[in-house]
Formats: sequence, structure tokens, C-alpha cells
Amino acid sequence: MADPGTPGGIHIATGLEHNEVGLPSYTSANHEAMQDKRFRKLKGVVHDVAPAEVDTGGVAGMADLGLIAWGSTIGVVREALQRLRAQGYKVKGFYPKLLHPLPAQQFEDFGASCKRLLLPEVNFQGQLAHFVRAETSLRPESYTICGGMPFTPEMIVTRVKEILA
Amino acid sequence: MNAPMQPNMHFHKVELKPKDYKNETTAFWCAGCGHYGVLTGLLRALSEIGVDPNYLVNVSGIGCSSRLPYFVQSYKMHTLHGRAGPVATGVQLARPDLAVVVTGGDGDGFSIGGGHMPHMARKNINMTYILMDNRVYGLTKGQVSPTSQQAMKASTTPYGGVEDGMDPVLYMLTYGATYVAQAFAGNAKLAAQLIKGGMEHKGFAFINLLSQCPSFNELDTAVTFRNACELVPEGHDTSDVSAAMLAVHKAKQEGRIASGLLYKTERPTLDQNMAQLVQNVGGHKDYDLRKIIDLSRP
Repeated sequence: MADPGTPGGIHIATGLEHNEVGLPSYTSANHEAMQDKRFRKLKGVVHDVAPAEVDTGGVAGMADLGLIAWGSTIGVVREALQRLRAQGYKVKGFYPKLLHPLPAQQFEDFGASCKRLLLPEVNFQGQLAHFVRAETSLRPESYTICGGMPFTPEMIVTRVKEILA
Repeated sequence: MNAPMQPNMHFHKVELKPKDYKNETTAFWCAGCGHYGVLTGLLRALSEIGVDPNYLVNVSGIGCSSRLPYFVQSYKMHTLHGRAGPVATGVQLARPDLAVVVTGGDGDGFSIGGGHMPHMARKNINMTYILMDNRVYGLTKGQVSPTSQQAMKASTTPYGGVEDGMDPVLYMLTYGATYVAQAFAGNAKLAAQLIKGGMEHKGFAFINLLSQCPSFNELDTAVTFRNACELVPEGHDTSDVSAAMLAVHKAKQEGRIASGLLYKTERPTLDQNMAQLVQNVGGHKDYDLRKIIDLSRP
């Protein structure tokens, strides 16, 4: 778009659904075409963002359990994974950088390298677990807390041991 | 000591008729809406000043009033509800060479965007804010706005209101606007004269145009506005803020509305103060406005 003060570039910047010349247009055909365009652009975001980090910690091949974590839970999970591996557990971590649009293929690839999946997150509903079930073929087990305090590595270690017992 | 203030003579000028400032989009409000008068006044003012449309930016928020930029030959932004002022402030500070006009309603300005209004005035942003004051929310089909009269019956006040309406002009005088004027929108000649004065004024110009809403406000009609508006007396001292406030209060007590240019003063604008600050500290070698603007380019 031209900056104001550019001769011949006059236009309106509007949040309303509009046509090629910037005038509001609410026709069904225009709205469908614009939605199509917006969501097509959104898909491309996956390729612009760094891929999810896969934390194998030297575990080769199939892991007995994979932990998916996001936000500040990632640090806790890293530490829990180190403790578990030190005790001989074959566990991996997966930390997505992007939640929407969900990089579904990256999740699928990680899921294929783990026998089971655990998704600890600090919210009542298990929102990421819900989203992963909706957008991928994976069925991670949800582990949620919402008391306002973060997970401790020990909580994660204990839960993983229970699952793999 | 600051140099004496010059009026806004920096505008890029052309010679165009009022109709040349009207673009190809058909102006569309209810029949009898006062906003047509605001548009007419604005087009006349633009023609009289001779602003080059390529260097004119018309910013609005949300509401019936905020559709006005669609009909004006200029760069324009139809922004978020209540946020026309902050967006226009950004435009003015980034490009002090442009002529910046905000057009918006009483609800958009003083309710949703109410938090921004005192700051535009006290910071003395060099732009013109035209309030299209119809004393009602029209786009959402008739609810009480901050300027509605208490007696107004609306969908939110079926038995009449419980609050006194605010006075935008007194508000702006209080918070330090450096040009404050008021008129009935149907008086396009006066409206044009006041808008022209506001645009040429270097500083924050606030023009309250009383604009009837025939669809949702039965109290404030074109007739009541026209009859109530009375020009401030010939000898009114526009440099005296107390006199301006007194004129507004006095007219109100007598059931009238003070109209015309109420107050005009001069003090440095925010862009001038910022430029002065940059100069005082010697600027910065990496400063590049183009790079900053490009950061926000979609």
C-alpha cells in the first residue's frame, strides 16, 4: 500500500470486508473469496516459523514415552527428562514454537517415534491436548493443573513413572 | 524561547472545487441525517484551503459518522472503535507534512475513545478533530450516548435517562485544546469556515458539529439545533479560555448553544516538541523513519 503523500496512491485502509479498490463489499461471493485467501495465507505461516524442538537427549529409535510441552512448562519438562533418562527411561520431549496454525505434520512425526504421549499443561481444560486431538491423529494423555503454581520436575517424573510402571 | 507560531501553511496545495474532494463512492446515511451537512462543510473547507488530496489523511473510528472518509478524496483509515485519535496521532507524528483530519461521533470519541480525548488536547497534536455530535448511538439503532440529553427516550432508556449529558466543548476547553469551535452541521457555511480555521490552526483543533439523527433522536432535531445555536457575540475574546467557558455556560443556562469560534491560542505542538528534543540531543545516526514505517507494512 502506498504511504499517504504518494500522488496517485489514494486508498482507504479499512477493517470492513472490501473489494479490490478498497470499497466495502458484503456479497457472499466476495466474502467467500476473501476467507479463502485469508486462510490460504494463514497456512503458509507454518513455513515461516522455526520448527518445533525435538528433545531426544540421545535416545535413539522408539521412545517409551514422549512429553509434549509448551510455554514455561518446557523448562520443567527438560529437567524431568534429564532425571528420567539418568534412571534409564527412554523418554523424549517435543516443544512446538507455533500453536496456530498447528504444525500437524511435526506433531505426527514426533508421535510416530513414541509409544505413548503425555501432555502436561497449566490450565484446567487441557487446551493444547484438546487441540492436538482435533488437528492430528495423536491421542496424548492430558495432565493438567491450574492452581496457579507451575509444575515441578518431580511431579512430571512421578507421573511418567506411574504411566510406565 | 520558541519562535512565533505560524499557521499550517505547509500543506501541499492544489486548486480544486468542493465536488472534486468528493470521491466516486455515493455518500449514504439516512434521509435527513445531519452528517451530510458535515460532509458538505468539510468538502468546502478543503476546497477553500486547497489541500492536495494526496497529502490529506482522513481517519475515523466506528459509527455512522465514521463512514465519512469513504466519501472523501483523500488517504483514509477506517480504524477501531474509539481509536481514530491515537491512529491519527501516529500519522501526524510520523508525517508532520500531511494534513490530518479525524471525523467521528460522540460515542466513538467520548465513550469508547474517551480515554484518548484529554491527551490529544493536552499534547496539542497538530490535527483537526471534527466531532459529529448527534447525541445518540445511531449505527446500533438508538442507545444513549455520553452527550444524550437526560430526557431522551431510547432503547436503553425506555422511561427516559438518568444521567446528564456531557458537553464536549467544555471538556476540550478544560483539557487544553488550542482551537475550539462549535456549530450546527446544517449551517454548512459556518461549519466550513470553522473547519478551515481548524485545519489552518497549528495545534489540536476540536470542532463540535451538532448533527441531527432523524432516525433515533427525537429530541435533537435539525430545527432544535438550528434554533438553539447562537453565534458568540461580536466582541467575544477568543484568546480567553474563561470567556469561552462562560459563553458556553451562559448559553446553556438560557437554553441555547454557543456557536462559532470559541477559543484559539498557540503553544508548541507535540511534533514540534519532539523534533526539538531530537535536535537538542543531537539526533541518532541510525534513525531512519522509512525503516520504522516499513516494519509495520503488511
